[in-house]
Amino acid sequence: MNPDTAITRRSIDVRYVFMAIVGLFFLAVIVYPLSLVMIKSFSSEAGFTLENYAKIFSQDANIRALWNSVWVSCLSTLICVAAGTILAMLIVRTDIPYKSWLRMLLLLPYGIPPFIGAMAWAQLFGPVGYASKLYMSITGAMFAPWNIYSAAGVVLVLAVYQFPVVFITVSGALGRIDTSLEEAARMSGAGPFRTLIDVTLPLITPAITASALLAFVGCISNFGIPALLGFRARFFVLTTRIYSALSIPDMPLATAMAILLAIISGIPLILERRLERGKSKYTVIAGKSVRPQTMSFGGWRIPVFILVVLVALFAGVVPLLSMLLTSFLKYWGAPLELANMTSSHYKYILNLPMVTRAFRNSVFLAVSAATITMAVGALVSYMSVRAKIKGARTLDFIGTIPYAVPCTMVAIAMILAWSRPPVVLYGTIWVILAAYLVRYMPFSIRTTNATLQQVHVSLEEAARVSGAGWTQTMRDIVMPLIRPGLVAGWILVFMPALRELTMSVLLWSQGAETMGVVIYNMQDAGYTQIAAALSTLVLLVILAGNAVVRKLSKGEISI
Amino acid sequence: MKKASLIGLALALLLSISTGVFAESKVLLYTSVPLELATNFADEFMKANRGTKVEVFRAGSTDVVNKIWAEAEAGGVRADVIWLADAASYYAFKDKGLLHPYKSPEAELVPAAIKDADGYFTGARMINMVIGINTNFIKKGSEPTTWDDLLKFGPRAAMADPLYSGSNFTVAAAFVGKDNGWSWYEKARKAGTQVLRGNSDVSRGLAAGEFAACMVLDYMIYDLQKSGAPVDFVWPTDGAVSIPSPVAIIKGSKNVEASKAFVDFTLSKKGQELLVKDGVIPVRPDVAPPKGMPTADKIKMIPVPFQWAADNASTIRETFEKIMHQ
Amino acid sequence: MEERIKVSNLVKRFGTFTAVDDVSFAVHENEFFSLLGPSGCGKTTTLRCISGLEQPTEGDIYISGQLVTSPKRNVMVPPERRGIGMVFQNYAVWPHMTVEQNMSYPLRLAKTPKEKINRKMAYLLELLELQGLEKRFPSELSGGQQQRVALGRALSTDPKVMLLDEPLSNLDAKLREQMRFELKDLQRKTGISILYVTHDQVEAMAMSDRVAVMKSGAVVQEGAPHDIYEKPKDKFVADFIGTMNFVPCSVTGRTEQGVTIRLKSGVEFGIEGSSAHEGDYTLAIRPEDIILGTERGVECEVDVRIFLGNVIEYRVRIGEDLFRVQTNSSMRLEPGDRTRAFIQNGLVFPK
Repeated sequence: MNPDTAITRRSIDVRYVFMAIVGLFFLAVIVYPLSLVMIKSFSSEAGFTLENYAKIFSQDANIRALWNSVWVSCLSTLICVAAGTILAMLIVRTDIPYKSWLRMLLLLPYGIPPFIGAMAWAQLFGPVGYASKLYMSITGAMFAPWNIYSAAGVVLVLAVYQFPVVFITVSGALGRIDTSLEEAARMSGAGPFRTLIDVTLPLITPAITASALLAFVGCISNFGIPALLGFRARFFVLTTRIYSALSIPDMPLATAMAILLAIISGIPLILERRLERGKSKYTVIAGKSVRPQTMSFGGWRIPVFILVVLVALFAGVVPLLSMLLTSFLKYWGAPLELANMTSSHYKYILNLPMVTRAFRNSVFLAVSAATITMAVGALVSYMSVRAKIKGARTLDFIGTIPYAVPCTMVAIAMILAWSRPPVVLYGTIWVILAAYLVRYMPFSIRTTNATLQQVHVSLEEAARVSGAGWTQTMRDIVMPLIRPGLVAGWILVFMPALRELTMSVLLWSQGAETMGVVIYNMQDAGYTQIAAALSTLVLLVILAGNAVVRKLSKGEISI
Repeated sequence: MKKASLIGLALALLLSISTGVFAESKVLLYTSVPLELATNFADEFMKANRGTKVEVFRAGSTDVVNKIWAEAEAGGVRADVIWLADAASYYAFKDKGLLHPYKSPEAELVPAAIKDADGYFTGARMINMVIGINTNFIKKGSEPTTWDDLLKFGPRAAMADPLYSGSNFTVAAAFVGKDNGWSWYEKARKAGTQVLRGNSDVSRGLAAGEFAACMVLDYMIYDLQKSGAPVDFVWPTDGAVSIPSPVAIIKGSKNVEASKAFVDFTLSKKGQELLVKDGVIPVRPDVAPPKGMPTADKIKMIPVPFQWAADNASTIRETFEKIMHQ
Repeated sequence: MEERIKVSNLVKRFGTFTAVDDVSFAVHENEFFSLLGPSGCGKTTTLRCISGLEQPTEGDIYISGQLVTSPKRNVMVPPERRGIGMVFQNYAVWPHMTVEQNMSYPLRLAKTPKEKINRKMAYLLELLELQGLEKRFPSELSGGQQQRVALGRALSTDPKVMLLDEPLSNLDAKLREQMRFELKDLQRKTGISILYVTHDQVEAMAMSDRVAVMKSGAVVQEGAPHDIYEKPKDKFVADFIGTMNFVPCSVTGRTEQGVTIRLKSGVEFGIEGSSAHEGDYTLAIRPEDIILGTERGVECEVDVRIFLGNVIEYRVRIGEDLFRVQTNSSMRLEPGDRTRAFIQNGLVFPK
């Protein structure tokens, strides 16, 4: 055999081996559990049936909820994409001051459980919220002109929650654009704004689409926010209807609705793939390292800065302060007087041995979930975007779909799949990890997809030519190049995993408590203040971790 | 993947061995009792019964019930003992053969109304649905005294949703009774009474002054009062709804003896006294109730047709949904 | 001749680092002007200041007589309004636009009538030999083709001034040589002024009318290529431009046309055109300025011979020092051969 064919053969083998491993992994971790749910949706006591699906459409309330889910998610996604893209541009590409602080402020809300966040908003903008009371005392009005317990409230808070997904992904892409492409537009006679529209935006479109998709699916599968804010307005979405069906209990109906939800989320995913197919791939990262170019605002610098600060305050800081305030209040909604403040909630939780254990478990789970999903996701992404191996696109699709399955349903799938021999994970911490892997896989696949599309294939080829094998090329060239994307994706998984609750609540066992479990239990038993104190602690852990990583990486890696 | 699952398997085995070897027996408790109370209970029990380890899984009653059903489906409920607020579910569990009968000697003093005649479950905690009020809005002497009075507050009154709260499901069962009398709920819908997700949302709204009055659990108000909130509650003259919150042993438990000991402990004088500290009315007449609360036999209760409620659970929830949400 | 670009006393500091230090020069009408220097010498920064992509710390820049940059007078015309064409080192052709869209973009921005755009495109496609590729995306083009697209884009609006930032450095040797001619040809045809930035002295020599050699942010020498080649102002320029033998020497006395040089080994010979005082110096001799096998000159021994096609390069030992010698004479010398070497030209620089 001559040496050339030897090399070719070996490289193909390695790729297919990896592909097979990932395929098996997906089969076991994602397809198997979720197909159990799928089977359930087609079953009745008599056997196979379509009646569960028929039942969904026979009830007006379900159709209304379906419609609500769709429009609320579309609207929220639009808001997130607009706000996320604009803010990413302002922060990455202009000369406004204190960028890294602004960035952190904008991302903070992502670190607390959505329903705690929703509660913080309610405490401010609810009928007797502090902001509402302030408004009424200033204007003398009987009611505040807003109502957080409404469809609009759901849309707004969902948007605030999904915003970081767009912001992180788009700022990552912006940071990687070869600035000479924009400068070339300036030299061609385009002003800064035209350059933005004609060059910058098209270049980051893959990242925007990817994050919009994640945001949309994130919105449509969210339960905590519509449950807390939509409930009173009798505003139901699919996830809240699924929960109702579960409690009736009508598991087959609930599973059928969950499958429907997954199908709806699949539509934009398929659309995105169609759109991508028509276009030639952009490779924006050239071999030359780029110096980040920032646009100068001149005299507008400070007004724009103030605007961004206001947005950051509104979306991030104020609700967090509200949460912080709650954690010191003797009871929820107490008048803001010193006499009503107490630090006893913190003393209480710091003395609870379960809290330390939960912290440890959550950190372990979040780190493992983020690392494993990023590694697998990068592989899948590579196979489908770069190597274009047959079937890799399908893996990509399979990996993304579970994001649309409501968390409760994922948890039930885990129970169904992992409590029987030969693999019994249920009742241990591993079943929670399995659930996280299913849930967060899409984040890694989507974000690395966007990043890989920007890396020029020649860089990789250069490594192959230099004598590096495929695995070496991945390790030495591809991985370092897409590292910013990987880091962004890692953070996108780590932060929500650290405070995940919907799945953990059903899957935990003693010794395997997570922070989400403790927060949820405190909240559910009426100890909102303790739940708020715990959420504050989670946030502090995120901030401290960020500070450490930032220091260690000399500012290269950070939220 | 094979490797990963093998590792997972090995770890899982290791975990089960390590927890199994060191304690002589183990009781896994699924409960909806507030976590702090549940762990307290477990600790006290373990002090009294060396060699038995109690593990607690706590979640809202709907979540626990979902978990139990899912586990039953997947080859067996893992818990040894369950202790939930959703009394009606016990009838369903019993019907599906999930429970192991046990007539605890400690249960003799427990009123017959809140224990199963065949011993499948025994009421172990008396929580009561009462009318909560915010004292900033409602002065002494003008409190609402009947459930119909509550409706006069319109949207300034609230209750939790039976679809989420086991306690409120029990209330619905009691209100509606066997004759399908949904009139109170229909009036509530007209009056605009707010339906919130859980009782904690209701009590929080009451304390914050969003609601003047509400349908709420007594011990939650007791808790809020302790932390200084301007709240109080009244026993409705047409009857409170008492939720017995039963304990039961799961069929197929590998630790039946230890589980029995745990059930005994919850019903014992000592166990009931632990509850009292948290503002819960004991099920035993020989344990003094919390300060300012009546004993179980003094409470005027609306009878709850549990078996009927269990048999018609889906219909009750669906009807509620239709009336209140659509 | 009209000055198309005028840069006076340009200074650019990044924090405490001075990238461009008091640079002044002018590019005239129809002139090909190169900024030549090693990487990091400030040539690209100077170019970016002229383009308007970078704001200098101090100094004035005029384009076609109009003041476009002056921090002192608070003038900063944005790049898009300077009417300059620019070609970037990595071409910067937009991956989301076709060849035609890339090239016609400046015209479309200028709201040029459609048929005029079409005419211009046809002209440019022909000029740059890109016919048939107009609907392709850059990812489907070779490096040379992308480079020509970038050129076309810069040329489309008929700018009077064009800036090129090492546009040939990413091309292979053959293509690079070919493009040199094409660029020069293009400039002659279109009559535009080109400011060209490169670190490749051969490139600069081949194409430029005038060259400014830069070092550490300052212009060291400015002039026509052959002037710089023959009369480098200092050791740095001498070294940077072309090949040069450097050996330590001392000047021992004056002759009628120049001075007498003594090498370390004691070998002495005279060089013309120098008026250095006695003392220690560095001697610089171009390889083609040593003639081997002559009657005159100093004794030497052939060390190595390399055949380069059109020329033969030898390494010879004169006394203790080694010199590179290039010759196109047909005479064949073998390593070990002893002969004479005549130094026909040489420069002395302070040590």
